[in-house]
Amino acid sequence: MSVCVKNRLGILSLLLLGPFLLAVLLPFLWMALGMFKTNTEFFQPLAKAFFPANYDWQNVTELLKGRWVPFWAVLGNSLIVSLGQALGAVALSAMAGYAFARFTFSGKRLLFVLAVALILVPRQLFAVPLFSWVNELGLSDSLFGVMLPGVVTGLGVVYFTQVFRQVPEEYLQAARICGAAEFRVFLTVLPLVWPALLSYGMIHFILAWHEHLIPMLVLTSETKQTLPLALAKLYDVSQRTPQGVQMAASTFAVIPTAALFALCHRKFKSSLSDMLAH
Amino acid sequence: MTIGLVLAGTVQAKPLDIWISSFQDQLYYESMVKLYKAKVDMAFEAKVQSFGFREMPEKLAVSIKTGINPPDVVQLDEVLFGAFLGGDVPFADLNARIKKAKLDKDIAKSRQSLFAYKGKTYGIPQSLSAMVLYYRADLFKELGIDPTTLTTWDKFVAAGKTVVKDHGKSMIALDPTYLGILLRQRDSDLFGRDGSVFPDREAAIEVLGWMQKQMESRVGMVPERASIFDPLFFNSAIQYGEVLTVVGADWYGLDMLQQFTPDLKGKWGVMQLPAWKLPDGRLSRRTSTFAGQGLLINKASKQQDAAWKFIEFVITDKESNARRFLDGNSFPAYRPAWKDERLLQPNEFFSNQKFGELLVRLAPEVPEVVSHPNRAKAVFLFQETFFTSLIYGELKPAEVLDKMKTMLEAAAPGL
Amino acid sequence: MLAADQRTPGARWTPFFFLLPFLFFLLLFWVIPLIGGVQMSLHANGLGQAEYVGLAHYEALANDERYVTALRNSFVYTLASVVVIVPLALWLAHLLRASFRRLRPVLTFALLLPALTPPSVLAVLFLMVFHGRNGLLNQLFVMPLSFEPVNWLKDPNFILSGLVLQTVWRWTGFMTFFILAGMEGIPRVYYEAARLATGSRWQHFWHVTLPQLRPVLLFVAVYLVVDGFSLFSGAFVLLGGSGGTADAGLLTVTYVFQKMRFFEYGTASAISISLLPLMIFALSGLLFLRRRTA
Repeated sequence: MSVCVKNRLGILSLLLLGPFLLAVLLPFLWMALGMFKTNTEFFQPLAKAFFPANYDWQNVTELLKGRWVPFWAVLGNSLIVSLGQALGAVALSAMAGYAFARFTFSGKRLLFVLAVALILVPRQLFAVPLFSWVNELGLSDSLFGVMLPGVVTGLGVVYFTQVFRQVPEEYLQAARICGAAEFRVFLTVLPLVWPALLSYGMIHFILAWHEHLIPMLVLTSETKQTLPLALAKLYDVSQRTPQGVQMAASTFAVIPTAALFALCHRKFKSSLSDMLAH
Repeated sequence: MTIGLVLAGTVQAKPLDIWISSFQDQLYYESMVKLYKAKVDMAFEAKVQSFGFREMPEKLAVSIKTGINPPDVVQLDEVLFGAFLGGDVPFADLNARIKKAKLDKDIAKSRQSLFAYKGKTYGIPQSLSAMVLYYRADLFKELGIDPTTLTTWDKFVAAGKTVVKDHGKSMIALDPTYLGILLRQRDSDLFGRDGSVFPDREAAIEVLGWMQKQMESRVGMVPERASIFDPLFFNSAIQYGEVLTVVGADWYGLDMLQQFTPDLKGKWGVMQLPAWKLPDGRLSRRTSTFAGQGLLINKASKQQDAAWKFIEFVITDKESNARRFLDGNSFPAYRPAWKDERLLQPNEFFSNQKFGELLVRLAPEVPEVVSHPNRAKAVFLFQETFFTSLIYGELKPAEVLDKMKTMLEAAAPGL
Repeated sequence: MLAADQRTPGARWTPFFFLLPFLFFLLLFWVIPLIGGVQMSLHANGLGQAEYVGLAHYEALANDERYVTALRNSFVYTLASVVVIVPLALWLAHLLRASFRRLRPVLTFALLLPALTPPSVLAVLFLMVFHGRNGLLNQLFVMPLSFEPVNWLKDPNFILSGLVLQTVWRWTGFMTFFILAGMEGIPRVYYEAARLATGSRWQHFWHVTLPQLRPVLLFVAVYLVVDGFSLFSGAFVLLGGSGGTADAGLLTVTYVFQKMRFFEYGTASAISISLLPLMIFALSGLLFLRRRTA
């Protein structure tokens, strides 16, 4: 295709994408700008006050100083929980996916469907029993009480089953001929699929980051809260948090996942392409 | 060693666990704990935890059901209290304690039964929760409305029609909670004492129809998200002077208006509710009631005596009651506190009217709320499912009533 | 490409060795509470020591008008989401491919932002978008087309549409990303062959690209079905646990939430469990389709 045509197509597509991009970005811009507004300004109709009158950083500094919630502790908790869950989920799902992909055994299909279906049931079903059970295990108000239930994922199993199906049998046979035990074989395959590991880790990190129900039930102390819980507290009307502070917290809540994605974006995409090509 | 054990026995076993259902009150209760320590018991220890208004009953229920870390003292709103009445009530019966502390004489009569059900009393109310009409004194003056002429709802609506016609504003903001409030103003309620639903059908249909009619004529308006408790409402319709009056309890004005409309300081006025003309010809009372927090003791608590002593202190202490009013929280239900001069002063926020005095005058007329296990359900059902249908004319008042009646009668608490 | 069901050497218990960690945690944190949940569904509602009531809750559901409404709404909601999102995402992916290569990461990132955002933050954003009078949706789309502003959250005719729009806004970018990745994974060979062969662009798309995208589209469908029936965050941020006027926006997850709010744990569990056969059925169906097209 000639460069000229390519450019024209590029511009045309940009024009068509425009409205969608606007629809997506505008609310975020509004949210970020809200950090600087007073309560009255915030509720004004858009046309009148989209941009704040003054860029007052007070709300941001107050939030970061921990006046409303112990911000850094909360952020740290979310990071620990999400990272822990991501690592655990990748380990467990990769191994499970490997088993489903490369072996035949009786009850395989049933087990697969059950394991995945379980995760599809509305989480609320587990709310009260899980709360009670986690407490019995001594994990109440502990970050582990949130992390451990979260390392189980049906989505991950489906994903890795697909990933390991892709690995050429020859590769595995080569490892086996050298007399390696099956687990050793598995370990040698891992570097081959590391983009997939990273990608799924990222997805799981994001899902864990947003989790609300189980953290709400398990974590009681103020210093153990995760970000979604702290946000809920800030939004609660009886807390009387200034809208600007709420917006600042909301904006900061998006940054880690967005940053993570921006970093891993290319590897994620290429591993996805490989996986989906079959 | 025995001395040590004896001493240990007199010191409080573990801190009292207090759960409150409003973040607003966290500071208040923490200061109450300090005050209690200073005035009554130096060894007293308590842990105060606050939760969101809707979050609290859920957490409480889960902790009661599983028996894990339940609190000793609970601050709960009367609307949500009803939900705990199905089956075994998890709160301690305070009848004997109340009599001993003479609180049955000192708490405003209409509020005594607020947390009572089937002969037992489970909580002490903290606020009088008398409904008044909050009006924009500045706008009334501007539009030439004299609040003293608004003695009945008919007169009110007539004035409202002029306001709509000549100035394009609405006279009153409507909210789903008005159903119960207006019913109680007319000596009825959502439930009857015999447990029936909507015992006075005519009254209910009239109230529902009234709300619908006001919406149609624009005399009434509904806030953006159908709630007068929404910050959005304060910052838009109220801020721009689009509506002139709101029906609210003492805590609505003291707490919410002061917090959310600080720029309107001095522009708000307070007055009694206009009266209904009742079927027998009389005029109804000029106030009503809705919601209001109370303090309850968990039946399973191992420190019920300590809990009660603290509660009694909070309810009766002079300083404690004054603080609640002055810090913009609510007006106490504890009658001896009404003699406190500080509560009867002119109130700057409410254009120098003597808000406290008005409330004391209205106190004898405040109606009772009929407790029922399905009370919370009824309130939320109307709010979430039927209010907007009614308001936008999708359903007729009788239809709404019958549907609600069917649903509430079928909804037995527990199976 | 290899048939995955090849017998491999090694002890018979080898696969279970790999499955063990997963199964252990599954059992510990999901199966045990699930049993607890099933038990709750067989006992009375309320806070005290509940008595055994057998299948009474399930029977009550069968006659429950609101349960049926919730099922119907959830079904429509899910179907609508899939029907709107899939073609839209396909089109966006197409546009992205045609756009400047350098810009692509930035554009995809922008589209993905909603998916990366915590649900509670979305609640705030929706305030801005779905506001009855001043919201973005009314200001930028409805009123310029000279319609009366729609009260998305209150008007029963529009509540479900509002819910669908919310899902579309939230997940389209995410799905676009997946589809784009899928498109890039299609070996060039296919495109070359298609260009050489006769037929319109549309036919190329339909007969070449689309079949290659089946795995992606199935993944997208599964994800949206899960979101429609078991994810509560979307409905919650928009309607806050309410089913909306006349239950127009009542979803199954919302109904479960409402039951739990009134401590009717037995009924709530029964509703959730009643969805399980449906989910398994849907999942098996999709997986079956997947194998068929491999």
